[in-house]
Amino acid sequence: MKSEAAALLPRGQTPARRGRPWALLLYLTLAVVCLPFLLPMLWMLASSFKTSGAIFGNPFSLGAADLRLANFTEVFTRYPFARQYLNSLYILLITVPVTLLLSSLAGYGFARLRFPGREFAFLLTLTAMMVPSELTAVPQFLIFKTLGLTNTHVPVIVLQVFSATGALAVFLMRQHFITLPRELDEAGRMDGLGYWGVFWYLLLPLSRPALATVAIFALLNSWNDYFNPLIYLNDEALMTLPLALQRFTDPLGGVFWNLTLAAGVLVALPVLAAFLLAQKQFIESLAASGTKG
Amino acid sequence: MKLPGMLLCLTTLLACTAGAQKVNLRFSTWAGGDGLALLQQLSRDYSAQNPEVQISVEVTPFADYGRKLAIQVASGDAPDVGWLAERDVPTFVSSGAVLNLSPALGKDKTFNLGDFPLSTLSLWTRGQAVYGVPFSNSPLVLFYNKDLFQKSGVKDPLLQYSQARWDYPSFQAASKVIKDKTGAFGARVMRLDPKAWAGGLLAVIWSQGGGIYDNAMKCQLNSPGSVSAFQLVSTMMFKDASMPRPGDQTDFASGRVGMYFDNLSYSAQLRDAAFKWGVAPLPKGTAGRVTQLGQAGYVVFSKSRNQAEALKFLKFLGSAQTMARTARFFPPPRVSVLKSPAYLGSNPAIPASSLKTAVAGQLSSARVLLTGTNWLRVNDAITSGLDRVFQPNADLQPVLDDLCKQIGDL
Amino acid sequence: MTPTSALSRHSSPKHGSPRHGSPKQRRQEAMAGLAFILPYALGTLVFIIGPLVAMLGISFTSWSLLDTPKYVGWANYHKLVQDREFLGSLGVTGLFTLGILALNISAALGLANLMNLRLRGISAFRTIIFSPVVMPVVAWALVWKFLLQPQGPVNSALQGLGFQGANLLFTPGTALGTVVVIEVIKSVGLNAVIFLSALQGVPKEILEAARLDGAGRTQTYTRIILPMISPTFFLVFVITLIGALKVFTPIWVLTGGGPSSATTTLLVYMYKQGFGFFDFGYASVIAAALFGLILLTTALQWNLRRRLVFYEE
Repeated sequence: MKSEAAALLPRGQTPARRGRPWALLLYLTLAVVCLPFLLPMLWMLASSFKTSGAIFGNPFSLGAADLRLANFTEVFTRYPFARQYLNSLYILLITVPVTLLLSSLAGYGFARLRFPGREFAFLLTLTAMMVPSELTAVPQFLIFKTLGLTNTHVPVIVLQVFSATGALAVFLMRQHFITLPRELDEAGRMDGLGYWGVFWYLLLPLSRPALATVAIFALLNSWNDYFNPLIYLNDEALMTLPLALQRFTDPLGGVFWNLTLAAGVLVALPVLAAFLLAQKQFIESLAASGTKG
Repeated sequence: MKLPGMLLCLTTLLACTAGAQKVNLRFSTWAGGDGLALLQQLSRDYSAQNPEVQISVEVTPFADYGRKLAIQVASGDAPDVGWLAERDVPTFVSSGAVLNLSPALGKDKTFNLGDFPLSTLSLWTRGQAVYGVPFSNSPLVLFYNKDLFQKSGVKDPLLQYSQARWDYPSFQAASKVIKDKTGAFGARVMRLDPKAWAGGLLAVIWSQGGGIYDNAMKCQLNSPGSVSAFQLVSTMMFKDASMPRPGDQTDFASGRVGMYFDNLSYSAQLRDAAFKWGVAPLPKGTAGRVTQLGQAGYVVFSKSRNQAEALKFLKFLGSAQTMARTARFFPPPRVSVLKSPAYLGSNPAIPASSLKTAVAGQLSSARVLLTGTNWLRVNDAITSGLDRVFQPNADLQPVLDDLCKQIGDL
Repeated sequence: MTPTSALSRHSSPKHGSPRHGSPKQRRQEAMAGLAFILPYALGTLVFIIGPLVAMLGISFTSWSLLDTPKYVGWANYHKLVQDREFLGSLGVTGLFTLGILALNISAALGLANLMNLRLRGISAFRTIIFSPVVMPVVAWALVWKFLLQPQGPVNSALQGLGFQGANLLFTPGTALGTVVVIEVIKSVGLNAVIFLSALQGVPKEILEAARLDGAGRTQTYTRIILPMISPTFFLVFVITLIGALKVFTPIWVLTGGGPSSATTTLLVYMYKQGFGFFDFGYASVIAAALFGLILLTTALQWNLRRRLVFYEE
């Protein structure tokens, strides 16, 4: 109990060094807690090397005979997976910055400036956070069809920006801007900066942590988006990763699980590796960000 | 006065240039891997023969195929030609989303609709109208694990079949021996996905004289034949413990199931199986050896803006020549193709003799599941009803009576 | 930067600039404000709100998506109030949402405290807890279907512990709870990391001061740390609630809404009617009901926020 409570104190505050038995007990606790989180990932990793039948044979075993890279090569040679990977990457590279820009603009407007209908407009944004995309699919499709933009990446990108996650981003940015001292604005105004100047030169540079948070949500959303790409993309070469994961099938649609899981590993691991490497900055950025309020 | 005139000019101009331009046909499918590659090749071949037509092959994952098509049709963005899955046929036909093909195909001697046995077209026919051309006409067959049969000393199903002893009692017995001797499951009749319960289970029900509907479309799931079929499956699951229960994920490809009912296309999943396997006909029941035909077909969508070209392309796809090429993946409904030696030798994993016995030999007694327009609701009701049927101590008759009452209320 | 000083700085409930400045300045501010929110607001209006209104229109029709919509007046709404399955799905949605909120938030806080331990290799622990967040749903559902087979590892273990006939995912009484647990394991990592950062953001000086004042550890935790991170509670609450109302694919792939509709949430029910049975008019009415519910929760949220969040701005 002692060491656990001590651990609640921030860095550098723990008074005494832990004894060995305590550390052991802690590690044991952590290991047990880890199990349900770790097993699925390990299983996916092990399965990605196996034949389709062996996956359902003895799922958590991995013998030397199973160590084959055939699934990974097949994913790239017989399916346009590399192309689909690039699609997801480039959509991500557009969606995330655009979300950052639009949500910080709107967040600043909602947080700092008075205008008629502000509360109402903000409430609408909050509502948009909770509208499932299945609900609005048909009218949305009509809009993009009229614009001649079906079977392109445009609707996928646009709908990611204005998705629930986009609305959440606006919400987060608003909450963040509220926490910044108003004296900053006033000082900026004294120096002759307009609203835009205050936003762009004074407040935004102070918003890196909040922007990092928003970026993470936008990234996960973009990387995992399934429904809209499904509806809008007809061409296999235009598809994104979550769709691609549904396309490793036999001629009549029976799933090749070994290929699907090998591809799944390739989809998940880069994000996980990024988390492992960047977690210190990530957590610190969240710690300092507008998550307060 | 000027504006309408100009508009008229413009439209004529557009119409004229459009006439000279290439026609772009959209062909929608859920095919994957090799199957998709073949369809793309077919489209290129067609364009080579018809330079004015360009074909784009559009793909959607099978699980979401129906809903994506529906959204496209609703928004006036339907493809021209496409695959249609069996489960979606009643809905698409009754709502007029697909075109009646009989005016175009009926009189065409080269296409020769007569090459399709009537039974293969029943799913697609309403009165005189034909709404689709099946490209896959796949009876359920029995996949069996030769290694497990050998280990447990049970006679090969093909041998039992040739001795006219391959019936459900022997099936049940074989399953139990495999379970007792090897610990593996003896048999699996249903697929992994509970929503696809009909594939497999229905053949057992039909073979015992039961069914979902009788001829008057009245629920028949509680008839004596149906109940005895459910009883058999239930016994194998819970008493013999030789059949996996619903929700169990043990797949035939794992090598831990002795026998399995599925369509021939399942053989693609067995390409790197670590055991020897074979294909045989299903067992015979009290009402005969009735296997189920799984179908998928080509349709032309009513909202296609290039109906004439779309029909021509469909004729190409459904022609005997093309079907001979697709038969490698999809058992052909055309008699001429089905009987050709080229087809019987097309699957390197399955000997021609097995293919002949298990597929061609069963077609005469095979049945397609014919359903009403509310099939999607009925299927849902049955799927959740089966949760109550397949319980260790379920009293089948009242549960099934209740299920039929539910279906009647729909 | 103590809570009190932070509170006193902006005690006014409105966040606008102080009420001064000429009418012209105010007009300028209003124009600027509109300009700032315009890009996002316009997009939301066109791509979300507009389609929502159209959906309301569709709810007065009978439409399979494949044929032409027919106006049927209030028929779909009449059907809705008499639909026992709809009422059932309402209850399931409520239970599911409450279950997710309670389990996810408490587990996230507990895990965050573990992640905050100063131990060698703790970053590996954090990564493991986070890993399900990035796992593709298809793979995730597949592994849990495998683990939760009738005679699979989990049920066998439970049966070994004396729970006879345990079959978590296929028994109506346990299916919903099981789906909740699986969904929480999948998504709790993100919330835990958010809590972790909040815990690390609590200023040392305050804790030091509390200790000098003789506060015990439990007291420090409940009286100081928890109130300090209460804004994070609100944020996590919002994110989790949104997430819970939008969960569809995991349920659909794991149970399809069964057994016996035990896991049919409103969204699953709407999906079944709309895309499963092609009754899009009726699906739109369910959607309208869901939308009403969303509005209600949004309003409640704002009220809750005023009560729960001690430390703001």
